[in-house]
Amino acid sequence: MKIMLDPRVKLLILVLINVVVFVSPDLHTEWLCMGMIAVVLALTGCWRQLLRGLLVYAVMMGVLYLCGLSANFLTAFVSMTLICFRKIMPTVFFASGLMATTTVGDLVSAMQKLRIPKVVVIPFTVTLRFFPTAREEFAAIRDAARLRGLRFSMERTLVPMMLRCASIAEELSAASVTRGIESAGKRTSMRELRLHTLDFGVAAVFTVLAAFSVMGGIPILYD
Amino acid sequence: MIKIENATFRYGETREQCLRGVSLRIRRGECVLLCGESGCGKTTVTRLVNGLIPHFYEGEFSGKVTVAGRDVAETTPDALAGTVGSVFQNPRSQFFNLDTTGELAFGCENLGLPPAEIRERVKSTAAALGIERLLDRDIFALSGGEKQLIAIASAYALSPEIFVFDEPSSNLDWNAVGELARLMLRLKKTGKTLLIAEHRLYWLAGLIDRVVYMKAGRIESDRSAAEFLALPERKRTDLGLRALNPDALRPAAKLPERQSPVLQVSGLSAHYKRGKAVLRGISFESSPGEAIAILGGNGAGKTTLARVLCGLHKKASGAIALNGVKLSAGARAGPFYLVMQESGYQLFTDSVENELLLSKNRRSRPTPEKAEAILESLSLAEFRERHPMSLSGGQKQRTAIGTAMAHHARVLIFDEPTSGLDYGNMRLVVTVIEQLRAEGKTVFLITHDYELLLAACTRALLLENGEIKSDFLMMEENIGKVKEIFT
Repeated sequence: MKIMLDPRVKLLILVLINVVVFVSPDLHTEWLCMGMIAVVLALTGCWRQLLRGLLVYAVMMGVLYLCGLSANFLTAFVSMTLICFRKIMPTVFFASGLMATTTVGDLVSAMQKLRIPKVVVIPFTVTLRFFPTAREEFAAIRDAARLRGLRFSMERTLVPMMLRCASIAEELSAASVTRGIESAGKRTSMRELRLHTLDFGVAAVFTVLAAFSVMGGIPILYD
Repeated sequence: MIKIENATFRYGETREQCLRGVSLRIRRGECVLLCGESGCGKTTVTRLVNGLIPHFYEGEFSGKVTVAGRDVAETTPDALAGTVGSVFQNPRSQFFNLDTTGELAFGCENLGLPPAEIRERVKSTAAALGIERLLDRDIFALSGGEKQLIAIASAYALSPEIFVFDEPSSNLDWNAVGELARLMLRLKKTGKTLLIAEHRLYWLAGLIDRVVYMKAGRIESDRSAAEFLALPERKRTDLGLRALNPDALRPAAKLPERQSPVLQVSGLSAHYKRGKAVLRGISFESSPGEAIAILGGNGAGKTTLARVLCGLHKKASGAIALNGVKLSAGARAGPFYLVMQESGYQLFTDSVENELLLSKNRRSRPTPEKAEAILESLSLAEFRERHPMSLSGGQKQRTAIGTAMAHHARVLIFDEPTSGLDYGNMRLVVTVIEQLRAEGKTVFLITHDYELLLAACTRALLLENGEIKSDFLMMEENIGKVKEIFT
């Protein structure tokens, strides 16, 4: 069975996970957090993201364990770097599932429901829409350089890329003006979002986790 | 429905007056074609009607434009959005959402319609235009033609009375143009008023009621469609217009004399990651001075063949040999060169001259005399100091060709070299191709431009499902084969 979570709840969970990571509790609380995210991803049917995330996390833990066995400059350096990445893993882990199950339209209507102003929502949408465009532009410029046997250089790639993106941005603005983007009235959304019991439940569980982490995490159970 | 009275306009940063007193009246339900050479002001006229002038493009404007009884200068663009729907030239840069359904709803959402009504409009729009199959799709995965249909649908959802089209077919292939024409005919039948600025004319014959010909910012003539379509061929080319009646065109490129082949392609197969084969056992030979059209529908393998030839796509098996020497993908970049559809990508320096001199190492840099000769031969000499990005599309394209000539490319592959070009610029491309052939280069063209095909190509390779389906010379007796491909 697959459940659907409201995008607003997903955004809230993302913030709460950041709280957990920020107060950086002990390892066991981090595992608890990863475990809870894994359950949410499983329930929402993101099996691929779930397996990939857990695998990456396990490999990180393994390498960190091996580094702990012998202490020298190299292992210390590797450990430091890996710990930094491990710290952001819960956020990345959840975000991968969020991206896979939320359409831009849902996200935008969630943001509108949260009364985030249009000056934030519209640039946000354009940014998302620009990622695939930027990728296409970059690939074309890389091909062009390869045809002439030129090596990659910042100047040769970024300057044409900026010029191209600027002209696309102008055409895009013109098109959106003719679709009434400058309308002063309130913007609506085709999708109507409603919070269900399940949304409240999942949000509550993660709120408790965040509060628990702020208080000190699993170690307080031992005291 | 549309009334333009003595409009003049000059774009902010330029000196040149773009419109010099244009007056035009279009009745409800009329379908009017605006045509003329590049830079004649036809796009600017469409911008007067949809309000982008004076609300979006800055400049000096005078005159009066009234659309459905409203003064455009006094009406905000969002108030016009429900009256005038706009469809632009580039399918890539006119959608805002990542999914098609969201794009159809976009305008209605902006204007704050209730959610239930938006859903209803999306549904009825898709049904009215017969594009239900395109709902809930990733826009980036659509073909250019499908994107253009979505652009029309997205405008239609706001139920405007008037549609303006700015070169809607420029980036589309033959089939997609047919579909576009059918959809526009539907709009016309529901009583919408259509204004179309366009270079390619053949597909509009059954659609238009009137033809307005512009030159240098003025309206030169205003004819009924019947009168315009009856213009003799000579008059049409004098006006710098593209073919009205492709059936009348004949193969015009002079076939090269028989020579021993220089390029040998054998057993070429290619695939993409995890995908099925895109090319399957392609073999052919070609001689210097040939101009070979690579034809075929969407997904036939044309682009992949071009990319494999010039070494951009490496996941390929088979052999490609030049002068009897087998070349690896890496070694083909250089002797093989691809002139991209948007040749602006291929220019990296700050002037046309430096562009020709730019090379991977000093040894391969052309001598100044050679660069000079190339600039002359491509009529670029007067632009040598200009920044490539400030050039027109045709000039950028010739600069890109110049870099290939400067680096001794033997085989040049053109990807849609004439999309969006008027008659004069198309003739320039034909001239450059003739020049390259005379120097003994082999030229390949991927094109959906029938007029270019007949004017420039000496041979055609038809691809289907990654295989060569037929291979024939562009001669009078083969014209039937060509027509069959283009219907």
